[in-house]
Amino acid sequence: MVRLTTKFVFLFVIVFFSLHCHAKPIRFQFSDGESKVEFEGTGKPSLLKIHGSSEQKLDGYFNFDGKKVSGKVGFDLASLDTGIDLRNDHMKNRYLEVGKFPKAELEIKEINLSKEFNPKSFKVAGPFNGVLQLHGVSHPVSGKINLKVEEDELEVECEYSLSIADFKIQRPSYANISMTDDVKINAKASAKLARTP
Amino acid sequence: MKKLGVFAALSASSALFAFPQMVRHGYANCTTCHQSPTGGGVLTPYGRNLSSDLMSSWGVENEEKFLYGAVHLPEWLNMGGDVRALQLYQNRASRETAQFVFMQADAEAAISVGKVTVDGTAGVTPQGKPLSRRHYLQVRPTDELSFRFGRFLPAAGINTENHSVAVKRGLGRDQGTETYNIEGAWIGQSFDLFVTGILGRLDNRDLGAEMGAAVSSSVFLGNRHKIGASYVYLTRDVGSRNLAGPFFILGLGKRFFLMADTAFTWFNPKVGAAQNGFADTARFNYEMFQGVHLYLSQEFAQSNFLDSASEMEAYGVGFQFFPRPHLELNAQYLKQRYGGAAATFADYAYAMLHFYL
Repeated sequence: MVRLTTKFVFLFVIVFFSLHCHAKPIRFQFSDGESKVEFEGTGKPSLLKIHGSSEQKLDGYFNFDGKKVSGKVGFDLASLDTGIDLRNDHMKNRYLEVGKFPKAELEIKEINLSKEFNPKSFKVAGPFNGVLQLHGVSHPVSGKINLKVEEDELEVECEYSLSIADFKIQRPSYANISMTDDVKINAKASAKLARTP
Repeated sequence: MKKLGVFAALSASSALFAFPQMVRHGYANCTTCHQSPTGGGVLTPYGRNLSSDLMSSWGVENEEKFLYGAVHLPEWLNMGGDVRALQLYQNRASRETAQFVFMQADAEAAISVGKVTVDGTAGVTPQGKPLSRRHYLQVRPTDELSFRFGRFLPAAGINTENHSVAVKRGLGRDQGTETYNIEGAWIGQSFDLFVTGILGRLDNRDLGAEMGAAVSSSVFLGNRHKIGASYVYLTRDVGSRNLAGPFFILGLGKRFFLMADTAFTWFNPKVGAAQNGFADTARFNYEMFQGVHLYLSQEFAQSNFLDSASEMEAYGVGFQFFPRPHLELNAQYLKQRYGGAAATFADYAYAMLHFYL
């Protein structure tokens, strides 16, 4: 009887810890890593390339759990720079209205990975679906994402396009040149392994 | 010598007022700011705004508009004009000269209806005769595609605001050499291609102007650089010539840019031996603060490698100032030498004031 109880307790401990370990995702925190966010739009009729970028650190996290990854990443829109002060002013205050809506936030509910996550070395690329909150509006977006982990550091690069009309942003226009509705986004960021996920 | 001075001054007046260095701010296509696909001439409303917001040291709202906003133009009409004068100084071994030259007083209008534009300048020559330097009919079936017929300079190399430089004036491609052309252009976000049939002076065949063709293309890289190459074939009664070479504009941060245009030349005269040569122009520019530029320049031209007397070189420092919209001051001091190493360097300086409507 004693031997049976010991076996049961031992089995319980193994099952409990294996379940516990499996349930615990591995988290990477963005606030510690480097980042670069870029956008590119087109001004017509002269096909003016309108490019903006920011190297402000992102905030948020990515959680890896077996063959799944999810995350939420925030970005300070006031840090965007198009290289021209007046254009920055128009972009931030007239169109993005950063006073009212200072942040953009991308939430990825779940990406199914093609292989099991390995915290020591991991590399995968594929499509993603997420929800972007911008200008006070949440709207689905989709694109491509690359994930790479090496030595406790996650590198993420994602690309997607959005329609500014979907986010109820007024079409930017200046002196007879108007921006097209389609804007390409490219974001690169690194995140550190969180000590206490 | 006096004639040479006047020629130099008038050549310096050949500015078409395109500012290709705007590439470093991400403006790859001339058509953002100018009606003409090759830049220069009448400004678009966007170009006018940039002349204040990005090019001038100071300015108040609406100052950049046509006639300072005194006249409101309808959307289908863009108007402009240029008045320029130059004070020239030369000190050569044989003679020292100083001269004031009134260079240009032109008006220009562009009327656009749908995809069709008619553009033309009207002015007078220094001798007081009426003159239209440019006039053309342009059709833009799509945002990228443009066709033009009329009188203008064919696209080749960089259309700088100073056409007195070796790669323009030295090769007979500056203002005053405009021919009638038919042009097809593809102007995309990151790539452009101009193909031009050069028809000579259809209005006056007696001038014996050159005819031929030109191809020029460039790519826009990294949102602030432009690199390209051009080829021009020209023929007339005395022979034919070919001009070909690369060009580039490199934006180096927000304040510096390096711009260079080159052309290797092959001249095949109907009588005598072929002549091969080279010409280049380079400018390294520092914008101290908005509207105030300091620059170094270098020019070289040699029409015949076998004849050192055909060699010209010049090294200069310049100051370009856009205090407010409608105004430009450009002053340059150069050390120039004609005739190769045997010749001595002479002093050449000018200060040019440009007012545009």
